[in-house]
Amino acid sequence: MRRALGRALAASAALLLAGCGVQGTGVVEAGGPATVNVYPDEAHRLLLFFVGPERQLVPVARSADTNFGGPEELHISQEAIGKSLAALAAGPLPHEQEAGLESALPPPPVGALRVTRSAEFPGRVEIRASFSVRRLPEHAVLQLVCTTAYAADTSGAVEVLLIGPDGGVPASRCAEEDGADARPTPQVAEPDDLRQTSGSPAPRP
Amino acid sequence: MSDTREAAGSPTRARFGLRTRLVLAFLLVAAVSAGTTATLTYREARNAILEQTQNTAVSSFRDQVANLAVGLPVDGAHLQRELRRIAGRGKPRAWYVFAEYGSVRVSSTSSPVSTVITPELRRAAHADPRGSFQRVVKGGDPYLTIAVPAVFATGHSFQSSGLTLYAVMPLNDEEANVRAMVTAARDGAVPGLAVALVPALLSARSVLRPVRELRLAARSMGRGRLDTRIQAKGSDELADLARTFNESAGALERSVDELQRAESRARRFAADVSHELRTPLAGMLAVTELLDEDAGSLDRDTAAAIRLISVETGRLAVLVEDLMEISRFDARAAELHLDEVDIAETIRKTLHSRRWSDPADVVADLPDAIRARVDPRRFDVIVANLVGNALRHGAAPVTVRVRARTPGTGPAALVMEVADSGPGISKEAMPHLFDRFYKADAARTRSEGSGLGLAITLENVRLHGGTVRAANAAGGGAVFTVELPLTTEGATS
Repeated sequence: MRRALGRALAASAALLLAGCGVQGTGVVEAGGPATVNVYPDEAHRLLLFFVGPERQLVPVARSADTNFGGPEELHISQEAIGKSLAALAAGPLPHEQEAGLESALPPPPVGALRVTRSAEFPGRVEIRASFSVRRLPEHAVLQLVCTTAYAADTSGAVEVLLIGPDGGVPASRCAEEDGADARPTPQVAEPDDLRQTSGSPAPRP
Repeated sequence: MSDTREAAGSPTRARFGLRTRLVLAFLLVAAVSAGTTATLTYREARNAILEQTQNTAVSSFRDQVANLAVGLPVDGAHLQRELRRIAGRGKPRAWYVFAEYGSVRVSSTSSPVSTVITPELRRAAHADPRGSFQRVVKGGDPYLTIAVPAVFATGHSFQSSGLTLYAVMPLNDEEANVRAMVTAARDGAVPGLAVALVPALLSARSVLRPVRELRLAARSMGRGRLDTRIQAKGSDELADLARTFNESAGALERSVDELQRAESRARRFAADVSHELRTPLAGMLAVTELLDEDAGSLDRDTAAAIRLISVETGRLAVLVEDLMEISRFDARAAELHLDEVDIAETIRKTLHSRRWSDPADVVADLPDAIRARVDPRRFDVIVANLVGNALRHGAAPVTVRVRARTPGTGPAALVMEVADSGPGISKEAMPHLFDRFYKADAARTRSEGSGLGLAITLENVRLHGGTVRAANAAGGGAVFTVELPLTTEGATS
């Protein structure tokens, strides 16, 4: 009896000691992200999207030669979109390549990309490509959608429809306006978002 | 004698005695409660320490990162300067800062990549633009690793910048605090256990003392002291037990008294009856002897009747004598008058006086020079009863054999065997041979003996401190063996 008791006591003591000290944990979520300042500022940059070494979409901020307006001014400028898409199609610059970035788009020359605003849906931009879009890799579509969205709207809250000679891919967004989920994943616009975005990207006369 | 027995018995009892068990139970309870309290307190305190450190570190790291201004893609040299600046402002303690963008790896230390940050943390930071942390134990040292993805404002929303910042903070100070708590808990528990020993011993004492009293009282009662009582104090279960013991002892004493009185009354009655019968019988015997002598001159029927009366009167006298003898034994009034005699001579005298000198009837194998201290009268009764019993119930010839057993095989003893040539003793009769008025042959209700012969023999042998036993010999016939202690001269007064 005493031996069994001693054994039990030793086991519990061992258990107690094993639980001592600082233990490792799993990953614990703690609060939101940190907001950093990116230069050049909103008014003076082109935001392009390339693919990182871990197949994640990585933004690149290039200085824009032209001032498209103040940061508060929202617009859809076909010129800006065209410029951004041209830069995207040209691929990452040498220092961007050094940072491990690459493009999933077909190598240049890509061909003509025509940008129009949707007549039926305000807040939707249509891109007509001269190449097949349905067979594009997922990341290439994301690059086009996000680059276009941020060129068209500083918040990126624009729906982008990609159409090629073989048909289109479903209209998708790069980001949501409230920033709760900034993941650049393609998604079908919800009516709620459409209503919010329809007002702001008003066509300029 | 009682002390030595108690001393011999106590070590086996003490090994897992009530005291040990009570003390162990007390210590166990104390240990469990102290251990549980210490464990729970320790857990809470440790978690509080770590949580405070973690929360402070995560929020201050996020604040520090929010001051950054970066280009995309990041400029490695510029970012490193910024990281070094952040590394110097660690809260609550200094930390190492690492940054990732694409394939760019920058840190505030000499190594651009941390070995502590786990792939799970990186995956969590990449999958979700949310801050997260993980405690990692690497090489025995605990670290807090924090991952904060950087986003930047784009109009009304925020876009992931692809830049992730990590902080690695050693938790050695927290570890030391936690260890100090364990030491404090242990240092508190050991004196607690020592203190618990005191009530354990006290309560064991309060239980054990009444138990010991009960044990002594029960033993004392077992030795016949029925007036033993326990002092019952208090109102607990043990006091109840003591009171019950006292009541039972009282009841037992009363009933034993009653029984003893009844028995002594019965004995006295038998003794009185036989005594009262003796006087008239003496007169009757004298008269029947006279009548016997004159019987020849009377007519035949009257003579036969008179002889019958004479024989029965003689038998009655023997029976009364035997009854008186038994009564004396029952009343413990039988006395032993020891005298050193020659055994062979004594037995020969006995046989001769009973007229058992015919070798066809009795064969005596009596070695000379065996002398023993016996009561000659009682020894005569023993021999006569055994031989007479053998002649009556067995068959002639009866052999009487005597030998002295040397001290080698047991205590020195005088061994006498009386064997007959009859059919032996039946198995049913064997256990009752020495009972009073026991008749081995149920059909022969009128035996020649009184039915008390063997009982008297047994009492006489016992009075000498010896034994008598009956058995069947291998060749048939009953053998009665008497063993009397052979005391050396002068040993017994």
